[in-house]
Amino acid sequence: MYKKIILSLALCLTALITNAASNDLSESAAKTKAAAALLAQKPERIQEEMENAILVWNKAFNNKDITALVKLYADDAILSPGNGAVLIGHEEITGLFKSFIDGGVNSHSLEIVKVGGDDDVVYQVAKWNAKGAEVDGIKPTFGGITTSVFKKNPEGKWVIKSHIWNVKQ
Amino acid sequence: MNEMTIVESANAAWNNAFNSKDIDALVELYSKSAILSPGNGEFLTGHEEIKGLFKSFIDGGVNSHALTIIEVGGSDDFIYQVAKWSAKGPEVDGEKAEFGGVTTTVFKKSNDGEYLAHSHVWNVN
Repeated sequence: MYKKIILSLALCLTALITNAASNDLSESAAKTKAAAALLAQKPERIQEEMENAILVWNKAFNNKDITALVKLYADDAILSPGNGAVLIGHEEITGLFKSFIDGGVNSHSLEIVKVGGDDDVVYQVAKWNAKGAEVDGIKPTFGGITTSVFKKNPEGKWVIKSHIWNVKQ
Repeated sequence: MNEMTIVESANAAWNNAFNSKDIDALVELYSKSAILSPGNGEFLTGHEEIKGLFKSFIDGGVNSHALTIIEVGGSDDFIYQVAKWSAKGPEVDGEKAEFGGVTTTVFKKSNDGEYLAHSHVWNVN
């Protein structure tokens, strides 16, 4: 009888341990799977976030909403507008976009060529296009390549930290 | 190594390769799928196209390339820089043309732990 109890206890313990081990295993397998899924989603997530950033940028510019536009930039953002010059911060960036909008630049659009990044930094390379003010029934078109690097602000929102572009000749 | 040291070292390797006309060494500083937009609104992808561009610059006599870092950022897998670039053209009548502008490079860590230029876009003064 005593032996039987010991044996069943031992069996019980073995079962418990095996069960716990398999729980551990399935838990860690699930974690690995979740991490892999997250990793797999990452490029799509970045792509999605960049597509969204583009929409917001174009909307602000094309609506001539300079305040909304400048809010998309970090306080100490760097911008080089196609001419080798360097502007830093909201005030200088506001001045530039104000001059574009006052000069009649409109219909800005972007087409992503490449995106990448990680949790801290994301970047995009894109084709940009815009139209100038209509002269004699003709709207000049401009375009080129642009790169923006985004960083997360303290509120966890992606803001543009650096933005440079060049112009098609 | 912090980001600044990594970028400074990458820039030194870049200038050294370009200024010594070592196109093979230069192209090795780029990832296989790197994208490059050389100031003209067009873009090139991959080693072959990038090689063709730099060969044309070097054959055309562009020399003395230099970079001055404005900002570096990022961590781990991705590091970026914004920098002023300058270079000289071939000497004509004793004068060398000077070029310059602003460039952004995004470096990606390779499987070997090396930072390679993954995207490189510049504009021209």
